[in-house]
Formats: sequence, structure tokens, C-alpha cells
Amino acid sequence: MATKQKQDLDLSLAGLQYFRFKDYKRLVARRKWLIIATATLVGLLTSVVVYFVPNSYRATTSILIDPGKVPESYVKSTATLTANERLALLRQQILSDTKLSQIIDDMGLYQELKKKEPPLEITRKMRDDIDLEPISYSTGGRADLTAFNISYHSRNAGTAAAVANRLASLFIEENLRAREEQVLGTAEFIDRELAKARQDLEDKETKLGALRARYASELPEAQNAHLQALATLQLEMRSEMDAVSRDQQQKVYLQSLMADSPQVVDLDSGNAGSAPTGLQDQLSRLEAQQEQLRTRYGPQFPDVLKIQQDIDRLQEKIKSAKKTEGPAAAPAVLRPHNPVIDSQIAGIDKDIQAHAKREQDLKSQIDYHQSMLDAAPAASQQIAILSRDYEQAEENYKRLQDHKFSADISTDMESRQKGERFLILEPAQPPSLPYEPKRALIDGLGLLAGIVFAFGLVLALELFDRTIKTEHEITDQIEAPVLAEIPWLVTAAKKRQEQWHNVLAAGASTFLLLMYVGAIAVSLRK
Amino acid sequence: MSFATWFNGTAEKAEDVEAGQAPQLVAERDGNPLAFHVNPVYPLVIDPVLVGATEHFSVLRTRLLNAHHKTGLRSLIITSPEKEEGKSLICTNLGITLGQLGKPRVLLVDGDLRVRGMTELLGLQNDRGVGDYLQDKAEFQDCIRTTEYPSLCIAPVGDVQEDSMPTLLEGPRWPAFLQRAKEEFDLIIVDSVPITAPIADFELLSGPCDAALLTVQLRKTTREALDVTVNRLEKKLIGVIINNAQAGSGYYADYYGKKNPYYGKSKRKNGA
Ligand SMILES: Nc1ncnc2c1ncn2[C@@H]1O[C@H](COP(=O)(O)OP(=O)(O)O)[C@@H](O)[C@H]1O
Ligand SMILES: [Mg+2]
Repeated sequence: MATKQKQDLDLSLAGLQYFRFKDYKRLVARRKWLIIATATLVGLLTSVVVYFVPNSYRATTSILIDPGKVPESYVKSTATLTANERLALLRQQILSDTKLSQIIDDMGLYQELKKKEPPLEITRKMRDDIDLEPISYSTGGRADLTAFNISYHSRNAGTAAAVANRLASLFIEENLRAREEQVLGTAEFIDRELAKARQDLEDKETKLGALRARYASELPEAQNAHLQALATLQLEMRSEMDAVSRDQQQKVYLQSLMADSPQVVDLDSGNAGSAPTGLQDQLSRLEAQQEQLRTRYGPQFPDVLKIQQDIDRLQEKIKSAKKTEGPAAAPAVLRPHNPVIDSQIAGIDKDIQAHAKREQDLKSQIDYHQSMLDAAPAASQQIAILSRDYEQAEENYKRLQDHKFSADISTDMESRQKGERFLILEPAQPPSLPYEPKRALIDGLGLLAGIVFAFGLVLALELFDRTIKTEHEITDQIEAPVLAEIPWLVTAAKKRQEQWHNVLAAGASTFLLLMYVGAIAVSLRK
Repeated sequence: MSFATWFNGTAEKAEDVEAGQAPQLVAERDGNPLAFHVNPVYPLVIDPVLVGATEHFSVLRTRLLNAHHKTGLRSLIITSPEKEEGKSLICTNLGITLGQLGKPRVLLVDGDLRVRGMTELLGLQNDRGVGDYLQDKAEFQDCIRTTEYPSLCIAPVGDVQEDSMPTLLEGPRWPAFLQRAKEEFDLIIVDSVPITAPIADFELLSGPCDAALLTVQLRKTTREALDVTVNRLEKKLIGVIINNAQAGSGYYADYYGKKNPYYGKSKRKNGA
């Protein structure tokens, strides 16, 4: 079991584990012709195959992006896209199917393809054949696009150059057109904006004027007028109120007068206590008298105080009388009638009403002035907001005017071609050498692959060789000593034969090598 | 006894052992000793082109004689894991090298009755040989051919029929042959068959022999064959001869040193 496993292991390594460096050297020496022949053959085959790959030429036009004659810091260009963005945009436009198929038709490209492929496939192929490479140099930390190359691949060197140049001029034209369009568009836009801003400004102005006129009475100058009016109105109001109270006293007095006149008692109302009724009358009379005195002379007037004593006393009497009598039914007192007094009272009532009306009038006027005074802050606020709007509009307008100035210069510059523009640095020339296939490179790689393959082959042969290859392998397995190491013995005849073989091998290898060199020379010439 | 003690020492003792024993019968009986000629195909050490190679066989000879003297080794069988590994070639060249020394008396026996490599290599196909003795068709003396070297004799295969081969080595005749040979020779070297061959010949041949030498040819012997051989040869194996060795890279390369002026320069086998 153990020996079997060991055998498998040996098989997989094919005895190479016993190899030392000189054994490998010897192996290479032994297989030198095989290595040379295999490597050369692979290289030869590669160069032959590459020879038959058709040539592809690549012509390139370099376009410089001229940043403009006037520094950006002086005049801010209105063509705001960066060169990079512009290039991307142009690429989209120029490499579009319509543009490309136009070029294809104009220049008669892809004649053979046209027969078998749909137009879209051909334009796609053309896009593949076009290379657009931006060239940027970093200045002060940021990369600026300063130039770009347009290349075209073709089987024909002349066509490659012609198409590259055509594409370059297209780029330049399109760029110019796009820039002009953008600059003009900007100017137009700014004009429109300016008009709009002016309109806005004017609107705001009129609105502000109207507001000012409307709130003229609420403006600070009007406040004093309101205050004065309020003062007079309040004074008047007071006198009105006084008048009303005077009238009411008069009315009370007149009514009391009417009570002193002979009474008409309603007998049906029963036997009512005369004393309390009399006392009551006395009381109201006194009260009326007191009221009259008080309004005329004030509450501290001696007569008023004296009457107050009388009134108090009378009230005591009435109270005690009421107690003795009990809660007898109140005597039905009929209202006394006196036509003269009645008419006087009616006159007073009328008077009171007139005063009340006036009072009402005054009150509404007071309210008006009061409200005017209260409303004053709201008005000034509105005006402030509107003024602010107005100022903003004005600023906006000024700003736009500045822009318009820049835009006008930009437009001017653009029309005189002083702004950023594309310049052909180097027009494409028909290349003398094909761009693809890179025969020298591929040939070199082929030879390299051949060498690698040859060594791989030698190693593979060694791995498949199940024989014992080194002395160490024997001494490793057999305990008995090695008594002799007999080299390969070559008789004179064998030697001649061997030499002959060597010559043959060398001849064959030399022949292969010569063929290889020839093939390389021919293939590189294509 | 370890391997090292067998082969170390000098060959001086050999003369003591053989003192007084002069070559007898065989050398004197036949007046037609075999002369060795340069062979265009088989490289023999007498070939002046191969003068460098003689050194390797001299080394082998010295070590073998040491073993012979120290252990009383009389009969030796040479085998290999597979066919065509150089058994016959090495056997013949070893014989010539021993013969050139003049002593001891050596008999080369071609035990490979089927391929008869040594017999053919020496052009002895028509001579009587060991096969005739085994079939009881000839006397021992008639089966031995003398050579240009007085101390060296050869027993070719002789007349052997294809159908009789399987039984030829069975029975007492082969041991009897060896016994008889020991009476006249000091060292008997038997060229034999590959170990991995599907025949009983090696077992029968090696039975009466004292020891075995294994020839292994680099880039020829497979790993599997060597494995089988190692298992079968355990007891009798006293040494290995590496054939098609790579000059300067071998087991004894360090011993000789790289720039040894005595180190033989020889061609290597080219290609597999
Ligand atoms: N070291 C060697 N140098 C040159 N040729 C060799 C060597 N070893 C073996 N050979 C050749 O290999 C072949 C087989 O050898 P041989 O001795 O007949 O093998 P075996 O007896 O093991 O079958 C012969 O042609 C021989 O010349
Ligand atoms: Mg043989």
C-alpha cells in the first residue's frame, strides 16, 4: 500500500524532484534542437498569420483649444461650457448617425460593407474607427483640456487622412456655430430678462405710489389730527352726557311735582294704608330735592346732608310702619295726571333722545379716529415690504444691466473670433506605416510564446517520460552501492552517425531560422 | 558484512589467493583463442576511440576484485530491470578489462539463452556453449572458448532450440556447470536476462550464484521496473552499475572533483 502510494507520487513528479540545476541545464542541452525548432516554428507561424492580417492605417489631426485672446478675468465669457463639456457635446453631435452617414456618402466610405450591412451598422463601425482623445496638461493642480486628437482608421492611408481632416473641420465648424449660438442666445436672454426686470420695477413703483396715497391719512403726519379730533369729540361727548343727566333730573322733578297734585285714588283697589303711602311720597319728594341740590352744589352741601337725614328718618318710619301693618297688599296707586307736566316731560324725553343720538354719533366718530390711530403701524409695515421689493427689483435690474454689458462684449468678441476657439495644430497626413496590426510587436510576442511553448513542451515530455533520469533517483531507492557509472559509449561509426544527425538537426533548425527571419522581414515590410 | 567492506581495500590479496594455481585445461587445449576486434556497433574497451571509457570499467574491476578477495565471491550474475540496458555490453567489457589484468582466471557465461547478446556480439553463434552442456550434448571443456587474454575464457550459448528453453535451466545441470567452472576459474560472471521478463530464467540462473549486479540505464529503465527489481533482488544484490550515466553529475562526481585531469572524457547518449 505504502509503496503503491509512493509510486503514484513518483509518477506525478516524474522524477523531477531529484533534478538539480545542472540536470535542467543538461536537459536543455539535450533538447536544444527541439527547443530552437519549436520556438522558431511558432514564431514563423505567427508572422505568417500576421502577414495576412490586412493593414489598418491611422491618421490623426491635432486640434488646439485656444482659450481666447482676452483673459477671462477681464471679460467673463458668456459661453460658459468648459472645453471638456463642449467637446463631449460636439462628439455627440458629430458622431451622430445622420452626420456620419452624410460623411460616408460624401466620401464613399465602406463600399463593400454597404452591400451586406444595414446603414446603422455601418455608422456604428465608423464610430469604432474614430478615436477622439483629449490631451490635457495639469496646470496648478487642475487639469485643463488644451488640445485633442481626432484619428480615423482605414485600410487605406489616404482615406484615413482625408476622413480625419474632414472630421476635424467639422468639429471646428460645429464648435464655432455652437458658441455663437450660445453667446447670441445669452445676449437675447439677458435682453428679455432686462425688459422683464424693468417692467417689474415699474410695477412695483406704481404700486408703492398708490399705497402711499391710500394710506396718506394713516401716515404719521395724520396722527396729530386724529388725536386733536379725538380730544374735541370726547369733550363734546362729556357735555352731551351732562345734558342727558340734567334732563333726567328735570324729568324726575316734574314727576315729583305731579305726585304733589291731588291724587286720584282708585277705590276698587281696597283700603290701603294712607300713612305709608304718604310717607313714601314724602320720601320720593325729599330724594328728588336732594338730587337737585346735589347736582347743583355737590354732595357735601349742608342742605343735601340735612335732607339726607330727613330721608333716613323717613325711611325708618316707613320700615316700622310696614312692620306693624304686615305685608298687606300694596296700595294701588294710580298715576297722577297733569297735562302741563305731561307735555313738559314729553319734551324732556325728546330732548334726551336727541342727546342720545348725538352721543351715538360722537361715539362712532371717536371709534373712527381711534381705529385710525390703531391701524397706523400696519400701513407702514405694508409700505416697508413693498419698498423692499422695489429695492430688490431695482438691484436685479442693475445686475442685469451689468450682464448685458458683458454679454454685449462677449458677442462682439465672438463675432470677431477673439473668444475660445479650436485651431488645427497639425493636419492629418497619409501615414506611411500601418497602425495595425503591430507586426513587430506581435512577431516578438509570437517568438516569445514559441520559446515558452518549447520549454513547456520539453517539460511536458519530461513529465510523460516514465524512465529514471538521474543517478540520485537510483541511489535514493537502492541500498546497494553504485559500483560504476558507465557513460554512453560512442564508437567511431556511431559518432559519425551522431554527427550527421547533429548536422541534420542544425541544418533543419538553421533552415527554419532563416525562413523565420525571411518571414519577419517580409511581414514587417507590408 | 556491509557493502563498504566488500569493495574497499586493494587488489593485492588476490595474488595470495591464486598463488600456485596456474591456468589449466581450457587455455591450453584449444589452439584457436578468440581475438577481440573493434566492433562498429558495440563499443568495446579495446576500441582506441573509447580509451576514456576504460577508466570506468577499471573502477568496476577493482571494486569487484575487492569483493572477491574479501568475501570469497566466486560467481556473479549480471541482470537489469528491463531488456537492452547494456548487460551484455558491460559484461563483455568487464571481462576484457579483467582479462587485460592477467589474473584472476575469469569465465564469462552467456546465460541469456534467448537473446544471446554476448554470443552474438563476439560472433560465437556457431560455437558450442552452455546450452549444449545443459542438454548433455557436450563436455564442459568443449563449451569453453579461450581468448587472446590467457586468464579469460567465454562460454557462449551454443546450440539451443526455441522449444526446449523453458526446461533447459531446470534440474541439476546448471548448478553442475557452475560447480565444474569453479574448478577451473576463480570468478564466473554470468550475463543474464531482465528481471521483469515474464520467465523463470533469472530465478534459475541466479540460484547457484553467489551475488548479483544490477545494471540500470538512465532514461531507459522505467520507475516501475526498478521498483519491482528492488523487491525481487533484495538478498543477492551487491551493487549497481549505472549505464548511460551523465559524466560529472553522478554519484561519485564529487569524489573525483570537477577539474580532475584523470577524469575520462566521453560522449553522452544524445536524445531519447
Ligand atoms: N553505455 C553504452 N554506450 C553505448 N551503447 C550502449 C551502452 N549501453 C548499451 N548500449 C547499446 O544498447 C544496446 C543493448 O545493449 P545490450 O548490452 O545488448 O543490452 P542487454 O544485454 O541488457 O539487453 C546495444 O546496441 C548496445 O550497443
Ligand atoms: Mg543481453
